[in-house]
Amino acid sequence: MYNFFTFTFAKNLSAAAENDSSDYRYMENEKKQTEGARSGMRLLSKGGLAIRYTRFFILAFLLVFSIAFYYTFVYTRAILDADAVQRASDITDLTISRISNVIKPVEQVPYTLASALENDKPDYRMILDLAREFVLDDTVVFGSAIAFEPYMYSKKLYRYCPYAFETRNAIIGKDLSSPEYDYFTKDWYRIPKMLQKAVWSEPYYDKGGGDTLMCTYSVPFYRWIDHNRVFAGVITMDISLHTFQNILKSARVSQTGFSYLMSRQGKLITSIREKYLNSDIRKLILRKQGRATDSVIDRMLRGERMFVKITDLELVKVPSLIYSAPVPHTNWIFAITFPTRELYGGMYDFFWKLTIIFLVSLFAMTIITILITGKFTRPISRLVEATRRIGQGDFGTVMPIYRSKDEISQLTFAFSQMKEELVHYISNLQEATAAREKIEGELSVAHDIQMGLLPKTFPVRDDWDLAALLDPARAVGGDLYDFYFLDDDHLFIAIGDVSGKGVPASLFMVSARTLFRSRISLREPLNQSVYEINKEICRENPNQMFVTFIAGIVDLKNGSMTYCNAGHNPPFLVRPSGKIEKMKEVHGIPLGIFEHTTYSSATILFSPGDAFLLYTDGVTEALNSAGDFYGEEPMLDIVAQNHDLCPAELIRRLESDVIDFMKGVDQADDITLLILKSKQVPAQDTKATEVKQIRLQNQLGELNRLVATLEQVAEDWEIPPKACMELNLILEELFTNVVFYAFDDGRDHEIVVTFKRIAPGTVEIILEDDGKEFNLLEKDTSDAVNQTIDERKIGGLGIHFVKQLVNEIRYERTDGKNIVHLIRNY
Amino acid sequence: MELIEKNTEKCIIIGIKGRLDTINYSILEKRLMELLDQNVTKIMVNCSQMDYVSSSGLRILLMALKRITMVKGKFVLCSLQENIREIFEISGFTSIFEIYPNEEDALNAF
Repeated sequence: MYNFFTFTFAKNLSAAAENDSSDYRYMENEKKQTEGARSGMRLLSKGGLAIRYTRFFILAFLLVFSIAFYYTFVYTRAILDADAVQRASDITDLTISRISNVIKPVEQVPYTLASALENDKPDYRMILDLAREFVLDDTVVFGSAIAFEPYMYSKKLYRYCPYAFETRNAIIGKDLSSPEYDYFTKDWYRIPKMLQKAVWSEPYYDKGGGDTLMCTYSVPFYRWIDHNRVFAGVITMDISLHTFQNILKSARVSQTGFSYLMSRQGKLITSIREKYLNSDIRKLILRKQGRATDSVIDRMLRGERMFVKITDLELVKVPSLIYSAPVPHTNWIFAITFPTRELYGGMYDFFWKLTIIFLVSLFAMTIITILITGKFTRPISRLVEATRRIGQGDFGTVMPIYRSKDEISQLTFAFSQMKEELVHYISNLQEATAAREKIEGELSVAHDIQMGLLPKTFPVRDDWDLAALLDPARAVGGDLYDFYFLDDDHLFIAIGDVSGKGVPASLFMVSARTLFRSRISLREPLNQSVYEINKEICRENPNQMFVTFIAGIVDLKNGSMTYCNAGHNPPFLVRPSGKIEKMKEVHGIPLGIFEHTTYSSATILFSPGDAFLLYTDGVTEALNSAGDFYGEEPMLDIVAQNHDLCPAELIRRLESDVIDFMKGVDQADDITLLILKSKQVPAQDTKATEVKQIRLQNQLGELNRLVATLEQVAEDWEIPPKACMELNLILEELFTNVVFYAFDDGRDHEIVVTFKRIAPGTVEIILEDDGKEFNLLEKDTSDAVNQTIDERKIGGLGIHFVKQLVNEIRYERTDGKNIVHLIRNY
Repeated sequence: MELIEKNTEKCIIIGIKGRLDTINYSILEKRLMELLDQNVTKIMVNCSQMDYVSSSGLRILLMALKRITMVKGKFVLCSLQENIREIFEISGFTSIFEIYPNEEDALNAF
């Protein structure tokens, strides 16, 4: 037998209802406090607010300071640069004017002499004396010469060049002209002659003359001859460059800075070192960077007043700034150089110290920030700890007190409120859960009772089979099915669906079922019974509930069924071919609506293999997650494909298909199915086999019923009286044997006797009992006969009779039952 | 089952009418014991109207036979129906009981 009743309990116990042991909670408290301290530290740890805030603050501070630092640095340097330029410019101007002061008289004198020489009859002697005096007076002028054109001094002299020069406070005069010293070819003579103007010579080292580095200022002079102004010679003034060395020594900007003069050709007129004197400045470039310095020097030598930075001059060596300017009247360039290191040195020192001060203060700021943010976040840590404990269910936790009126205080207050509300909420929830559990417990009992009302097993028969399923959507439901035997040959089947669901529907269902059970009988037509039942239901129906219903009475012998459909879903008749007929006929409105309404009925005839399918709309209106109905078609498809299965298996298939369909959605309505099937008889003896079964109690009195049944069978199957008597004897012996010996528990048991006419003239009888194992065939009865009267024992005779009177006998022990099969021909 | 008793000069005749089975054998048992207790030693059982007998019934007859034989009395059966006679044969009782075809023959045996 199968059991098809799925119990679906949805007991959702709220997690909040868990009753933690308070002892456990106290034990945990200590542990939690250390956890709290740890969480406080966490704020100072890597991800903590204090550290994050400090890090952010320090970075921002660093950025702002760096920008300010850089700006200050650049600005300071610019000021220093401007200052240096100003100083260099001032010094340059001063130096140039000092040089001019030296040079101007030097330039004036030759002009005076030259104009004197232009007279018609110049007094050469006097002019020469003048020159000599000048050389003597002037500290700068080293020597002076008057060089005449050929025959210009006298018609007798081809060349004449008197020269006066200073040696150790004595003036020495001599004539420079000699065939070896051809002054006509010298630059100091040739260039003024060609240019017809006064010219400063390049510095040169005078050998034989002053033995010193000198420059010569050459002024051309003329004579009027026949009203023509004719070039007559050159007056020169030699100046020692040592003079400027002294001037330039004082001209410097910084400690290691220095200044110098260059000619336009780049020759050093003065220098800090002797060895560079008269050197070409271009040759003093350290060939590292080349071009840039070249162009700077080119610009310098062109006479630009300029301020540049230069690194690769041999003179300078270290990165230096050069200020240069041309010296007026001369072709000289004045340059002043000072190393940047010296210029910026103070600034660099200053910024170094500033950086150290900054780093120290940054460190101090970091510590202070951490301490301050720590102080600010400590209340948050405490709040975090308190909240965690509340979260773990410790509602006794005292919220930290924080007196100021800031956001943290507001947060703490909000948490306190939340805690109070939680306590309130959870206590409500616990009450509600307890109440719900009580109801659920009662519902569970109600469910068991309701399910207990439903018949669950249908006896195994060769001719009919029946299976049913009720799967309530809730603990209890309004669907029902029923089946029971009205007598040996008549089976009552029913299915119904009460409007509504849950407890009210289930109570209504139980009352309807009870009415049916008490009213239905074979003495009254089915439709009349239904009419009476409807009246009864209407009379006591304050809630205006109703039930759709199909009731049927099956004559198991002839295969006819009378049924009445009171507003229920049309049942289906499934033929062995797989063809399905819908029984659309309705015989009245649902029960419980109108008291005075009549019901009709219909009769159908089962052929072997026919199945009758009853269902409620819980099947066809099962919903899936998309909101679609299951519908009739899938149900009928399964039935058509599996019509040769037994009802139990078919119902199992239908149920699993509906459950698959509803996957993910709660079952909305009770699912009820009932299938009655007329079995197909094995083909070879379709007509021969007939079956009769009787169920007996384990009481001797039942023997009468057994005999009556046997006599009925004998009459039906035309068993002759002698055979009948012998079968009677056999059955009595077997039955009494079971009654007397099989049971010793004092309870009621059932003994099932089945008669089968397996062929004309042959009957099979099966006795089943669930008593102690007893194989009567093993009992030795051979001494039951052929004994004298004294030997003869009383007993053992019955089994002897049985063995003697049957054609075949077989014993088996199956499922805790003794089963005796016997075959007897007649 | 009904018991029909007749007292004759020679013996007591008990007629069994109907079925003698497990349910009612005690009626016969009770009567036979009463008679034996009254020291009746000559009993004839007429089975002409006995339709059916099971091992329980046979057991009573066997018991009565044993007791009467012990006190040198006489216990006979007569007029067995054919079907019943076959049961007696199967059980081997035909060799133990004195069985007569009719009541007259049986009476002559006393």
